[in-house]
Amino acid sequence: MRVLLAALGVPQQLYPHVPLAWALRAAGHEVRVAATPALIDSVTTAGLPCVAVGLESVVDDLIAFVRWWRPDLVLRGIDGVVVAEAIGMPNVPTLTLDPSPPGLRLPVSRPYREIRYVPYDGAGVAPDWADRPGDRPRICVTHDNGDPYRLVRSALSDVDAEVVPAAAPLHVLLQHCSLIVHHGGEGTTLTAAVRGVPQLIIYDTPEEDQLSHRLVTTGAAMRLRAKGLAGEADPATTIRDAVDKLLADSSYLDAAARLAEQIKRQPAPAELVPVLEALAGLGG
Amino acid sequence: MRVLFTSHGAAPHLFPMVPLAWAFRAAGHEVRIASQSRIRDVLVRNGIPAFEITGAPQWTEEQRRETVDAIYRQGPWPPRWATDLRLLNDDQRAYLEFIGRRLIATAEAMADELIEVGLAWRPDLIVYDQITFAGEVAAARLGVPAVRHLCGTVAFPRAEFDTTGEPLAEYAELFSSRGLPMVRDPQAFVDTTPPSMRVATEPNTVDVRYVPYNGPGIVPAWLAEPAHRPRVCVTWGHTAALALGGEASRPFLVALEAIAELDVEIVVVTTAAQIEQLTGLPPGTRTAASAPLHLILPYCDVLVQQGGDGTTLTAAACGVPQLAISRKPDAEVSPGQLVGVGAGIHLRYQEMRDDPDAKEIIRNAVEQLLVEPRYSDAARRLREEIESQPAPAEVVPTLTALAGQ
Repeated sequence: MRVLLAALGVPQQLYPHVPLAWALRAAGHEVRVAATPALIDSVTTAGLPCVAVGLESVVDDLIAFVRWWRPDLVLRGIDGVVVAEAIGMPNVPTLTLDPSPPGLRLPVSRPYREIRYVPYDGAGVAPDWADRPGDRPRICVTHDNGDPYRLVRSALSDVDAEVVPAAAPLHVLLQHCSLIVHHGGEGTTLTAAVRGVPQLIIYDTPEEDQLSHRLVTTGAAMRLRAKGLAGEADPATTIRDAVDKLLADSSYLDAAARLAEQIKRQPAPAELVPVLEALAGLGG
Repeated sequence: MRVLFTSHGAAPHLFPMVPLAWAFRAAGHEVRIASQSRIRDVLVRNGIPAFEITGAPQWTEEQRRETVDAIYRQGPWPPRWATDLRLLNDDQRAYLEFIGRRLIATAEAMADELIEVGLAWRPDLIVYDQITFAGEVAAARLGVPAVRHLCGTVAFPRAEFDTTGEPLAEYAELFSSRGLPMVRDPQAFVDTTPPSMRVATEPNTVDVRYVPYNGPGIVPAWLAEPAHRPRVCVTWGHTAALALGGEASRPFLVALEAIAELDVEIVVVTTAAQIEQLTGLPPGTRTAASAPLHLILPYCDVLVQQGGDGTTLTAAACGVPQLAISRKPDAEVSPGQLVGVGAGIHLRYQEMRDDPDAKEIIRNAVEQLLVEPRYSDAARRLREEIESQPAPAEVVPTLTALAGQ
């Protein structure tokens, strides 16, 4: 079967689909990822065959590629671009795959299938400390020099912990972390959830607000509003208190472990391959 | 489960394991790939988190030249030598053991770092490339099963054995110097060569479909343009380009001239550095720098290549008839097997080098591959045989069972 995937936005929109794309290849299917110039490097770094589109017109290039290559299936994510419709292929079946564990899922109206979130956020060499627990709690902090994070770093400076900046591959870095502090983006939230790491979310956008609200409901996280912090007289103490609580109260770790268990029970990308074959009218 | 893949620093040995590594990952297992710094650029471009092994034998320039000379000064070896080492003379046997010792030296240089990585990460299973014996040593040290991943017909005869089939002393020392009992055979062999092309099969072999992965890359846009003439792809692989530099292309320059006399479109796939050094390409020749062959070959009618295992299997998986022009003994093995199944023609550069009729011989060979249906029929059968093998995803349960999971 030939499967086309489109990477047209930012790398974070491509990453959740990389394990499924490779699951298809590992099952013997052909995969191509159409990418705009800014995303070509992200696609090839994932080891996936890339088709460059969008030097002039994304849609024209996609149509030309589809006419030539004739995919049996076009993949899109829950928030991905509706490629099949954009390129006028109403007969290509589409299906939404949702990588959220039940506790974090947003209500969706379209038909969807669950898929286990297998973290992928770019390739890289595993730093040797990542595979060993430290002497002190290890706290991972989003690599961001923007306002709240300067504050976070200064708040953490007198916590007895090892502070490490987030980097790819994040699921490797998080192995022996006791806490992660981040914005509440979907990839980071789910990667920490897979690892069973409690989270402190400093959220800003409506999407981050919505997802972090759900995460807090699971008991695996605390959250602070970036704008709220900015107005506080002593925001460092607020952050520090939250960090202390997340490290000291084992209920956060227990809830994070439950979330990780929930994810482990979801069908792995490899298990979705027969579903996609059936959707394309092939195989099982 | 945690699975550690490892290969020494050669892309043609790393690439064939990538689809299986991703099969484990896509089934929810944790995977890492460890290899040497010299291929860091491709090591971090397959999507699997990497361990970089910095240890490597410190060959002097003279020793390096000695290895390259030994490899490329060999005359043609007896046909089917790999299936019966008694066909070889003393010099040829000594050469095989010389190469074996060089490979064991690489394993020696990698082993301690690989063990250290393993002690920290604690894999449940180690999958190692056919000549990356450090994987077997690390598995012995960690007490976990090891699987040897073969990357083609050249897996046999086994490089760590002498020509009587006994382990070389240096192989045994990889273990004894670390206080470990020698492990002669891995728990299983993963073989992606289709059975009809195999030189030998170990009893505990897991058959796996060859899913081509030739490194990261982009589909050339011109592939979508209609081809008005048959398309012939010409390549000479990674290894020769690295070992020989500009000299690597020499056997193929004559081939390009020969093919240009036919009414075909020519596509040259090699490294950017090789392409830069090519002069006088036939007019209209397309070049594709380091493009993955598996993206191009489905749209080609014939492949002309150097006898590399990954190249041969990629074309086989794409159902393309092949002309191999080999110039070293290990590159004679897969072309020999290819001829055996009828899907190709094998010429030896050592015999062609001084032959005034070389160009005509090559042109006739390519023409036969293009027009005689027996070649395309055999190539199609070979492709069907490969497609009938279990995909990497299907053997994950077999391999996890080895680790008791």
